[in-house]
Amino acid sequence: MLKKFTTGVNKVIDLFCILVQILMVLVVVLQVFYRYVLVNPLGWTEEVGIMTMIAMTFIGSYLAFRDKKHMRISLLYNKLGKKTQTSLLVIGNVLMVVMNVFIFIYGLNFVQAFLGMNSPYLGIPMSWVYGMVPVGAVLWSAKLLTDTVNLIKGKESLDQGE
Amino acid sequence: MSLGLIVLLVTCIVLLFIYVPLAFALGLSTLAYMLIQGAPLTIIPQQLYSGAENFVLMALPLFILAGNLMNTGGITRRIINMSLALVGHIRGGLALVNVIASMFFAGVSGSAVADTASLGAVLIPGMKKEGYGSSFSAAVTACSSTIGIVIPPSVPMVLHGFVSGVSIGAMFIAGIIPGILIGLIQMVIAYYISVKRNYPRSGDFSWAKVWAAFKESWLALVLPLIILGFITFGIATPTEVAGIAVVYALIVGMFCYKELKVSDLKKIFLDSVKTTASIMIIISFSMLLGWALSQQRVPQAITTTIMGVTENPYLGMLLISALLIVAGCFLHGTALQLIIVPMLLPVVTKMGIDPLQFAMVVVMCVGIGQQTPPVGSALFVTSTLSGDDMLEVTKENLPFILSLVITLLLIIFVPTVVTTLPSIFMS
Repeated sequence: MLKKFTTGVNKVIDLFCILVQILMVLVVVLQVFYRYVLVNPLGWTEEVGIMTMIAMTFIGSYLAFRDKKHMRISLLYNKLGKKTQTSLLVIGNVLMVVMNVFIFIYGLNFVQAFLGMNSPYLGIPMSWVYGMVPVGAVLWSAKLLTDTVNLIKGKESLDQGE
Repeated sequence: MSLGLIVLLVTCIVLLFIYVPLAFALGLSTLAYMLIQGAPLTIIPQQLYSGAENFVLMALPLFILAGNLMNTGGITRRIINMSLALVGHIRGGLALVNVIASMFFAGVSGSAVADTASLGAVLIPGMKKEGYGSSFSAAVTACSSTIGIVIPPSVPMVLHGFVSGVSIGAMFIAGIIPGILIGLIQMVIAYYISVKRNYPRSGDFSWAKVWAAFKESWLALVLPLIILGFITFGIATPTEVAGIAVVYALIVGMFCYKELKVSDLKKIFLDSVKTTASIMIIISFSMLLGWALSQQRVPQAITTTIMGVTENPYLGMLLISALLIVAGCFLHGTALQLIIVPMLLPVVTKMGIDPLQFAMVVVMCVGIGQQTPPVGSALFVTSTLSGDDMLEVTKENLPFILSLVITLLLIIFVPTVVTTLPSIFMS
């Protein structure tokens, strides 16, 4: 049940990130086309472009974490025994959950400050855009907590990064 | 030093060494600092967003995507065939092919590691089969891949543009001469070693072969010309050109070369998002760290220290390069550019160093950092591919690293190598 839910969420996020990237390319190409070929610059392209950047940074970083693509320094770590590695990962994960709790709480505060404000060109609610950070923090925390449980059970890979 | 600053630096280093992801090591140590200083925590989301809310930085995901789309088996093969037709007949042919192919690849992708992985996977086994030393093959592949970040497009140049405000277009154009220069010096070194060790030639030269290889590969080879053309004629900004490069790579890959299938796209898109996001999240957290460091006036302290040692711009650049190269042994290039370089910018301005010249110094130091153990991304990839020890590869790599050092010194002492082309094309 939980597994099905996680797979579902992951599929939705994959699709979301692919769409965000396609949108980013379209927006940029449209911007050049309208400005240079039609000599009729569009205003909203930069606005949407920045939104796609925010989505890609905060939701995409969850993807990168899920697939163990984040940069870490393994200089010392690789020389340690399995038990020490496991405990370090557990400590690291717990600390990252703490950071995410702070990001979530203050990210939400930030969103509240922008409630009712819309983007200048397209009128997209800014709270949706800024909501990416708290959403990202929830995704990270969920993944970190399940990873930690699996680490303690000995089911999680000890090689976590680039 | 205040207590807050000490806590910040110590926690950051400890967290990095206990294998916490770089981004979170920056975030957590700044959080500890903020709690000690009683700073308003609303700064956290503000700084995180300020890293991501940047239209110029959009060149990063777009160039990464364009590079990944171009980086299919078909294009790697075409570039290698083209290089083989040009220099394969010379002694040490495959070593020279390795360098030339890296130069061609540099115009297609903006990162060194992408080049290393795809060219190395083909060329390292090929070189070993023809009797080249395994570590030598890995070393040529590693060091020539650094040309990828000097010849445009270049991910480190986009990052530097974000950090310093130097025009990305100007940096792209400035990179052409040093990039070609590195390639030429590396070919001379590879040739010299190949003659000494009696490494073989690969095939004979004929114009017919060159023409056949060119017809197959020109669509990929003209991409850098398109990118530079659009920028110099003011048709598009680097960010927009990156978007155009994506569309170009899609069309060439799907309709001209027919190597790219719709079913491949999902993986390419997701991989690009992950690469981008893993850099972007470091950018965001480094903004948070940067806020703390500037609150503690660390950049000013560094400026005073360096100015205390020397006020001469040449000595200053040498000192800073040495600092960046040493730091680059232990830090990934992205971290170097986002954490160390911003702290050095005030002193660069104060010494009256040309920002464009300094940008190229940074790019070269990042390139050297990719080659040096214990943390060198290009070195790591090739030694994994060839199955050799990193230190063995480094021994063979030393002469090639020299090519990077020579170019760095040229950029410092003969700045015209980087300033001439931008002053002609960007005015």
